[in-house]
Amino acid sequence: MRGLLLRLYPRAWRRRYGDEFESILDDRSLSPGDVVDVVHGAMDAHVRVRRRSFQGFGRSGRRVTGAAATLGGLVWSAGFFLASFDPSGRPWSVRSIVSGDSPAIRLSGSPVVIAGTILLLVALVGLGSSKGRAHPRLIWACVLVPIIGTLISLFALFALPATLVRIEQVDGSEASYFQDPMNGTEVWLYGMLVMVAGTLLFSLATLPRWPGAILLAGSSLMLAMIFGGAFPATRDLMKASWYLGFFYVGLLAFAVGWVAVGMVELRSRVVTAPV
Amino acid sequence: MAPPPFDLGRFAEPGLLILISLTEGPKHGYAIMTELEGETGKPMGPGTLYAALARLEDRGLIEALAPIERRRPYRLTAVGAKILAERLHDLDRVVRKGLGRLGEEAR
Repeated sequence: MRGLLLRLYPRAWRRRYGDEFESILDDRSLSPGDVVDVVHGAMDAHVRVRRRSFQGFGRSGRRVTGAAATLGGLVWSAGFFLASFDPSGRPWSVRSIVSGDSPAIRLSGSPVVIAGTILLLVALVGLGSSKGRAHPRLIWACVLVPIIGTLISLFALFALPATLVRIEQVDGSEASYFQDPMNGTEVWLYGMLVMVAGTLLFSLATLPRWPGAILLAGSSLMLAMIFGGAFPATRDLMKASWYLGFFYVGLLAFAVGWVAVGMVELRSRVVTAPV
Repeated sequence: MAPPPFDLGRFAEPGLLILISLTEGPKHGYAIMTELEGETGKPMGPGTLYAALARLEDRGLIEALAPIERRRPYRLTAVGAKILAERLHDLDRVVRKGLGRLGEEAR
């Protein structure tokens, strides 16, 4: 009976208290009330042990989230930067990316964008669970938007090669074009737009923390530039010399914002309330 | 924000009684249990005793000494003594207030 009662406790608890607890059970004639009390105590010990392992997971989870946000911000922005080089050799063709009218994403840049997108996805899920404790509905609603955008853009990046067709030119040479309608670039563009817009929402929800402010500035600037180039009425803006400068400042702020969010996560400590 | 060190939830009363028992010096679990049963007249089950001991140890209010055979004595730490004194002063204020009100009502 005493051995059975002791075995109700978790192994970790028995390693620490098992001997002394067993000696008490041996020294005492157990009443039915004692048995109920011990069963109750065993349940309590299980809850405590599980809560501690969850807190341990929380610590490692924040490290993973922080690393994913830091690397994701850098890798995604670097991938976008690489992808903005036109296959024809003309640099800084971000205009064609945001207008979606040419195969501007070089396949050589796609793996980097894919890696960055996956890292940002991991970071977003982690941030949702860690920040969501303060305002669960608000944070998760804001995090779900960029997650959806990230998933759409990820799907498009993987589907990109399938939508690329090679067409023979009049002079006999071959050129690559994306199939219409709704080719991979466009799907990626829309997914990326949702992701950046969602990041903006998330940064608003987590303000006034300073990393959120940088992320907000970067996302806002990127969105303004993309939308400025997407509408026919404002498309001429892209011809302005300052357009690309603003776009890359936004991209840089976006990357720095994610790095800052990641660094804060890496440095933060999980409050492990004694249980 | 870290919870107050004496936030023991439903183990607050057993925890307080254990701390008071340890003010006399180090004691092992069985000695604490029998002493408290003798003084309060209420039995404290082994499950409750060890749930409270584990929480007090986690918060650094008591510490375990080297075991003697299978029995491990516990002693009050400096932090534990300070927290206990604060807690008893708080309770004392409540008790005085309550008794005062009862006295006023009796008059």
